[in-house]
Amino acid sequence: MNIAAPLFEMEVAPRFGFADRVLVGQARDGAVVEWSIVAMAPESTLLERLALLRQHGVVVLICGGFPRRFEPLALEMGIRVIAGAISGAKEAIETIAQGGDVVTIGGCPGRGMQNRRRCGRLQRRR
Amino acid sequence: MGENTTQLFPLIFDSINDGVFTVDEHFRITSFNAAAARITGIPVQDALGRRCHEVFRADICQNRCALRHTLETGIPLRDVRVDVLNADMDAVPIEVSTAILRDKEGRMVGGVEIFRDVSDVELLRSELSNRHIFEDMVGASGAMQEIFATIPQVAQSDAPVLVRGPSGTGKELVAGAIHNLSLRRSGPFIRVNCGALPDTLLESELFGHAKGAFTGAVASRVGRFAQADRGTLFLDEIGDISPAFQVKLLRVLEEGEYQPLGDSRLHVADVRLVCATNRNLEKMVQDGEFREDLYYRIRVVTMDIPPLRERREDIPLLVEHLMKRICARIGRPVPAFASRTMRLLYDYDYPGNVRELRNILERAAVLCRGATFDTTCLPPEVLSAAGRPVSAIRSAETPDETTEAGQLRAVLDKVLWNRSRAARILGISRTTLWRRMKDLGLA
Repeated sequence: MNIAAPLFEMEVAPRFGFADRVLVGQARDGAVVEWSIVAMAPESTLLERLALLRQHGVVVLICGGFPRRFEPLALEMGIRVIAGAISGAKEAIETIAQGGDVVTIGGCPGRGMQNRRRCGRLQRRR
Repeated sequence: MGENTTQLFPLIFDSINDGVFTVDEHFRITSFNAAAARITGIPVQDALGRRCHEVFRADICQNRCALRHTLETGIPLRDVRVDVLNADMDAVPIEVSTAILRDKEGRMVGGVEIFRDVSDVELLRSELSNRHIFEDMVGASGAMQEIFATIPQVAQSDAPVLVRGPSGTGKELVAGAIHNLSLRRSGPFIRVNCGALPDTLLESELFGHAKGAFTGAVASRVGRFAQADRGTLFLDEIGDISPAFQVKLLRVLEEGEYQPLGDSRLHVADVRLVCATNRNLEKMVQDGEFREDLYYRIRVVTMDIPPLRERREDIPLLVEHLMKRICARIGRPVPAFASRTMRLLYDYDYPGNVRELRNILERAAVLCRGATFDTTCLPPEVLSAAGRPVSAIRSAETPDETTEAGQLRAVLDKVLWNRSRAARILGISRTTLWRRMKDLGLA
């Protein structure tokens, strides 16, 4: 399972759609066994970015901001989005690989909308 | 300042309708008012201590952060248009202004950002824009609004229409709109450029020909009249047809029948005729160049499209509309226009009208890759039309206060591009200044 997080320095980027690079971790048995960086063309669309991640086998995308209206599209493409993440990119990927929760602020995409009432609260997200 | 007044600050801070927050030098939020919490959907207690990009998730956070710009250059920004994602990950359009925060000794301790939700403004703008777009035509001017109001009425009848206007004003769009709104909309819309064909070819093109009608007519061919049956036939550049062909066309219009070349039978076509010209047909009639009877036959209803220079108020709308289309076609983000660029586009006379404007924008979209189009994206004819040499305009460009490049250029101009002096004025190191200049293409 490949898990991705767009980079803002070494943190999870505030917006997936504007990040230049994405950190991808290959998770196996609860640990990340291989790291790689995927470069994003600056003017590529969200769809192109998601398609590129899919080509790299990414199934989970952890990011700061991800427009809610694109979440169904991402799911259709086979990528679950965990938005609102506010941590180091590597740490976030490792946490998800271990089955843990990522610290988020606001945002519920990726968890379905059943948790909408919790939106806007600091929380831990798996 | 009295103690009582100071105690009121939190109250005032939370009473403001605009979002306000402050950050320290590491961009950690140190205060966050109630409006900021309302607009972002992030509670105050969650926002405090977080880095601002974690809370705002704006489209500028990563590469064009307004607050970072202000902290690094000392230059405040005003009304920068930004999209943020709120707690529900819905995009919220805001306008931000930034400034530096200093302590009593004048040392920088952080920055302040004031922002307001402009969703309503954007909604109104969008509604207004829709009102100014009619069947692919754009115009807020009185002349265009009148045309937009007339077209639906004209479309309801089968009366011939003459659309007049200079080249490139969109006469075909008017003809197309008449067809699309008419009862014939399910039928064909056929366009013929009369000016492009000599008489014999035009006759064959319009009426068709039988096999063997002339040398090379190896098969019979259906003419445009037949193709336009139960639809609309648009005859462009009707003023360019010869006197001999005017007679033939008049006969068809009067009798409702036509005869393909080399065919002895008369054919009937149920066609609505829309003609267009960029020539002064009335004068041509007076000068005996255009038949008066044909003129009155084709101009039961006339619609005049003014040249673009006579409806300059439409230019910004057209720029926005055309640019969106061009960018969608070539797959690039829609750029912003520096105020000076828009001014030059507004002032230019457009001898080629909307078509020329579209070509100018197409050229810019291909050649300029930045997020903001400055005057260097415009062709020489637009720049030189401003009455100054191209180089003078480029060097004397009014800085756009919302762009860092514009701000930096203004400061550098003042000190004759002496970087040490510019760095002193801005309160930053020469290295930082140099890096910013390099990033912004100023070095």
